[in-house]
Amino acid sequence: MNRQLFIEVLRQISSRFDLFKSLLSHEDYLKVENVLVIDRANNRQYVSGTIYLTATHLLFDDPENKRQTWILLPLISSADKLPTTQQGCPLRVRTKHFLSIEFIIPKERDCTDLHATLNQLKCDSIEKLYCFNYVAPTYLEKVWDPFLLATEYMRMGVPNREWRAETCNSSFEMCDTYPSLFYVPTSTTKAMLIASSKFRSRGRLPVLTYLHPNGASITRCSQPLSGFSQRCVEDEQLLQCILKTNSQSSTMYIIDTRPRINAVANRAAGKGYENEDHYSNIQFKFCPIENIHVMRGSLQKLLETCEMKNPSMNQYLNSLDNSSWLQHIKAVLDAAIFITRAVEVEKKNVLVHCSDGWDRTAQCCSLSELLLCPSYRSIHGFRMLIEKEWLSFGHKFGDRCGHTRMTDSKEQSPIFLQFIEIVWQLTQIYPSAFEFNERFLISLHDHCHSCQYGNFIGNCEKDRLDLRVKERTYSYWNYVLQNVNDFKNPAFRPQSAYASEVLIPTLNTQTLKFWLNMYHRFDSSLLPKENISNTLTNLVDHTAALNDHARLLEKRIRELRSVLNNGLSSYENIQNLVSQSTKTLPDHDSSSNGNELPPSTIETKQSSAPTSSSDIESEISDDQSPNGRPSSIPATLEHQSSTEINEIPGNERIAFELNSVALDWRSYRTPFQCMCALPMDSAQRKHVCWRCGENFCSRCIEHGVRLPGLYSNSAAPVCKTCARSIKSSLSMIECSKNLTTVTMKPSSLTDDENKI
Amino acid sequence: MVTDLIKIPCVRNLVFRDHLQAYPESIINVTLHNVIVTHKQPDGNYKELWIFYTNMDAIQPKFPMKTEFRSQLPLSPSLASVYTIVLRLKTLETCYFDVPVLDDAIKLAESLDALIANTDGLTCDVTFLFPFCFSRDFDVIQDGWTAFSVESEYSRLQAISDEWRISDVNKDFAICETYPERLVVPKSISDDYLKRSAAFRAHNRFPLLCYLHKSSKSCIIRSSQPLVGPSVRRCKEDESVVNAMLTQRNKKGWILDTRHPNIIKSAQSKGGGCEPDQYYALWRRLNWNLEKHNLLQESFMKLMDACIDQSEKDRWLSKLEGSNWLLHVKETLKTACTVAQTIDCEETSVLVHGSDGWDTTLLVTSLAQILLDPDCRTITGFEALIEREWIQAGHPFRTRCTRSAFGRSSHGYESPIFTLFLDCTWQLLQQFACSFEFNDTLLIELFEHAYSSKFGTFIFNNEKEKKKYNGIKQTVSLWSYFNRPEILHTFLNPFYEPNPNVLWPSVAAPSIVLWRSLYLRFYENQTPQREAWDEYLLIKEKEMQLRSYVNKLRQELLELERKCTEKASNTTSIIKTEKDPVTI
Repeated sequence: MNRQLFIEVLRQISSRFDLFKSLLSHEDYLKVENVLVIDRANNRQYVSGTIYLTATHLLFDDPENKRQTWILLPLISSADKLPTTQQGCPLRVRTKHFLSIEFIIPKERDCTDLHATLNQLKCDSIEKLYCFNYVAPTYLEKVWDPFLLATEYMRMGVPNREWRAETCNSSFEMCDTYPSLFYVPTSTTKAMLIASSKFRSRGRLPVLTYLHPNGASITRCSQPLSGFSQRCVEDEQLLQCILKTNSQSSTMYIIDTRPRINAVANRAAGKGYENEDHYSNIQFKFCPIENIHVMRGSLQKLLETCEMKNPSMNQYLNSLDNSSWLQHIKAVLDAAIFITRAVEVEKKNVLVHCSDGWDRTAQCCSLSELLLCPSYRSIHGFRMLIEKEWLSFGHKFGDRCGHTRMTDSKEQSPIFLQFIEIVWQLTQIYPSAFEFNERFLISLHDHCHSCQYGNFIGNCEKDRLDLRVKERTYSYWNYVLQNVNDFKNPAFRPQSAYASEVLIPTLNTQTLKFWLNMYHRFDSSLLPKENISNTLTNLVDHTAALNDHARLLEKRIRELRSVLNNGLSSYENIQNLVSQSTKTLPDHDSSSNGNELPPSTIETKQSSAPTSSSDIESEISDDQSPNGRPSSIPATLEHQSSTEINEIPGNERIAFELNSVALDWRSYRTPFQCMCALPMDSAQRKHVCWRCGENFCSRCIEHGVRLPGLYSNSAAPVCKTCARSIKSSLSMIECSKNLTTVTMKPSSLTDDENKI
Repeated sequence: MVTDLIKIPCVRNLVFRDHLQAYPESIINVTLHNVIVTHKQPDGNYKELWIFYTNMDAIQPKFPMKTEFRSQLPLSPSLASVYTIVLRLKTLETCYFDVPVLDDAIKLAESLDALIANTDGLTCDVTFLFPFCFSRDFDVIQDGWTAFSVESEYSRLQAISDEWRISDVNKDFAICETYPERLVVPKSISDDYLKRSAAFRAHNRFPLLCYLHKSSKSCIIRSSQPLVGPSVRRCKEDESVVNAMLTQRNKKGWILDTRHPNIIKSAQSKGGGCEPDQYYALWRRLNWNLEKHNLLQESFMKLMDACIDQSEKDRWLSKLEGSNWLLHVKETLKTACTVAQTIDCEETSVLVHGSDGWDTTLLVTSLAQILLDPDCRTITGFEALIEREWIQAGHPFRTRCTRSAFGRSSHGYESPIFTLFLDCTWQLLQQFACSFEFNDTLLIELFEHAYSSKFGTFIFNNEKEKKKYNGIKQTVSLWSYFNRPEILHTFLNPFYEPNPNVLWPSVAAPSIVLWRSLYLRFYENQTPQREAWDEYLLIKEKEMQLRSYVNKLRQELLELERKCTEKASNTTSIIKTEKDPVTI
């Protein structure tokens, strides 16, 4: 096969060949057969299969085990040819999401070709990144809901008497890696800001990033260009202005997140740190977090540990220890905890910087804000945090993740990964404090590298504006919103102290764990076979399905009762039923009576509808309320039932409705096989068909099916077989009885209400 | 007399601290069985903490101190001229007492030191231990002493095979002191053979059945080492006994020796050894190097040393590695997996022994049963397993658990073998979170009771001792305490779904993790975890409630539907009997 031609063809065809089937019908892919892959957990086991290389993916198809490994090309971090062995020519492919796979290709030429092609397919310009070609499934729209920095600051109560918005960077003339709008003390002047900006590395002057309710603030900047003796009076004044915004303390912290020796070394290059003689009322503190190069090396060693073949316990622990990864994690978290204490306990303003103020500073600021402010622990809030600290203030995602092959490999560093991991460590310490789950963190990490969405490309806001990403690409947050149920932590308890107050963990070295599900996620044999979080998600989904179904059943019972009572629409009778049902479900009772008990959290979390179900919840409890006020909803229901009196829900229909929701769900044990024979392990997301209760892989499930047995009429996940049978029998029933229009009415009504 | 050891009965005005909190103005009272620490709660109420001497592991610094060192008594960091006594408990907790008066501090420390030494497993008088003084303060639903009898085990066995019988050969512990009186043995073997076989085995621990696999009828057998000796003696009766246990189709077996070949050799020169191949033709031998009890103890001490280390200087992971604890966990699990694999996949029986057959042997046989037998993963099954494979099998609990991770006894026989068993079980639990009826609370409770307990279950070295001291009459069984609904429900795993399969855990290094909820439970704040657990329970309960609610609604609906149909066919008779809702 002519490689050059092949690449040309690939360049021309778009990336629409995502699906395996369409791919196979097309001729433009590179195919290598009889490839062996070694099982990482068991050295002696091989699987054999075929490699397909498309414009977007590298696919290894293992027909015997029916397993396909799809690797998105932008995720490939390296493809190395290893010395030829007896079996063939090994090609090792490593990805940025920690898959390491060794293909043994029988013919050396094929291996060389594949190797060269993979290297050439690596994106050579930011304009050609995957996000500009990516065509998302139809449910994702190319809509970017606007993130406005101002809204987030408004939430913190800024601007106010002490802080004002500054627009002098509106076309990035002052600092091209800052957002166009930032917040500074009201007492500052434009001249002061310009001078300070000139005195700071890359013009990144001190600006507000977080204002705590107690008045203490976190400001961030880059290192001053102080060298050995330089000073800038305006910069000193700016810091005094920042200090004065908080009347509770006469001093403020300057936190240099570098080890002292690095900061001192920077002086020789005309940079360095603030001279305490020139800045008054300052408490200076170094937090020894190593630089990006040390972190890169540490991750390298960590991954080598993960790739060790069948290590002994001691080799493994030793190697893990030598990588120092967890020590670096601890250093960052320690710094964040220090800042949190300073703000919350000491009530002092904190200025954070490192060298350029976009790596360690971003880590420390965002983590301390996560600890300080509970709203950042929700999915929406976490997005805001990332938008603000990482995207707006110019963390160099493009360079750090190595999106194109033009980036210097020395610029790559797992800074964002460390942040994600620390958030994960916090979720381990406080399992009920965060709304999002591990899957969300992993997904976020992967999509920073995948370039599938436009959010994380480029190095700063300006880059993304220049690239017009909002017009040309999909937004990751839209994807999260559409799949939000996959990303929710079932144990999240919004009313608990951990989810609603400042968190100040006491951190020992022993506290930090190795993140098995991140670094070993492709070694399914190493992962726990059954894990609680999957089971919990399952339970929560099942509860949602049953709840919805129960409401329909209640409604049907009411209807039949009124029919039995000869259409007298006996309110009394409904009351009887209701008081009985409230006995069995005390939760409903408590929320309906408007007691001091807050509505149960599970209720609000479990909704499969895109909005919170609290409206539905309150509505339902109202219509159950035995002694509650005569609210409008029971009235409408009564009205409906009286209109439906002559149209009794028929036997067939009831049977149909009952059959459409599974009472029991199959428990989830791994390894199991999906209907399509795809083997599943605990790392993969599995789905339960709400109709038959069986487990399926994500490809065998349809999401948009409306089950007749559900009151809310919201779309439920259903397997393909059930989806077909539902559709056919639904149409049958509609033909035989002209009922559906009437019964569907209240359901669609509530559905509309939900959308508000 | 114990009273002579108490040099100071009461110290007032001291600060009592643990890792999370400090309570000033506390009082310590030294009594016969325990010290009582009275400390003030944040809400102003006084609370009493009872610490039994049997629960005290070590005291730091060591007392009595030579006078010249007295000035070096560590001062509490917060308060000047306060003397700190660090008390390490067997449950792995640490208590600090800041005593303001030097003389009091020394007297208190000396008293505690002597009282701790007084509880040493070998030297102390068992009947003086607290379980003999403890009077039951709850109603027994099921007496733990009789809950797990050999008869019930035997009836279970009979369902699988009728080639076994109960023998009274060990009546009054006539042939083996560390076995129970009634034993299950092969029908084809007479008591005489057993006696001869016993004579050929160390401590007379002749081969006994511990588990019979349902599907293959292959079994796990345990014994002690044969007394082969340098002259390679043989005992035909012993050979017959083990061969009689091969009831499965292929009549083949493995002998798994838990010792290193070198250790076997040196044992042989001392009269022990391993079964010679030529005499045991149906059996193949396998060596598995599991460490001896004293090395495990050292490992456990290093592990806890690493866990409580608060300094930043030493690297935690390398200290953890240096302890070798996880290595032992990994090796033990691997051995158990090998046994399970042999039984289930190769359908071959396994005879497990080390030297004495009451330490590592039990570790392997009991873990293999958890892997193989779904019944062992229920609460009752697990209790039965411990009763059968540990207590009745003669694991010397008192000598092994006389010290935990901080102290040293005078005899040096202490060893965390049972802890290792619990740790391995926990590893299985966290890899198969839904296959166990119990949660890790049960395991932690068992750990605590094994080391220090008011119950008699774990204070004897073997059944003979229990009988000698009349343990059944004089003490209360732990199982009586556990098997009451209010206690049992705290052990329940809400996610349990019976799993009939054999468990195949991962024993690769990354899959073996530290049991934080045991070793670090006093050194990290556990409240967030507990709160999350409560949330899990709520979620599960909610689902269960809804499920039964929906079920009820469905039946009600179908009933109504039936009535509707009746009514439609019989329109004339509309009666208002339906006023009361129908419940089915």
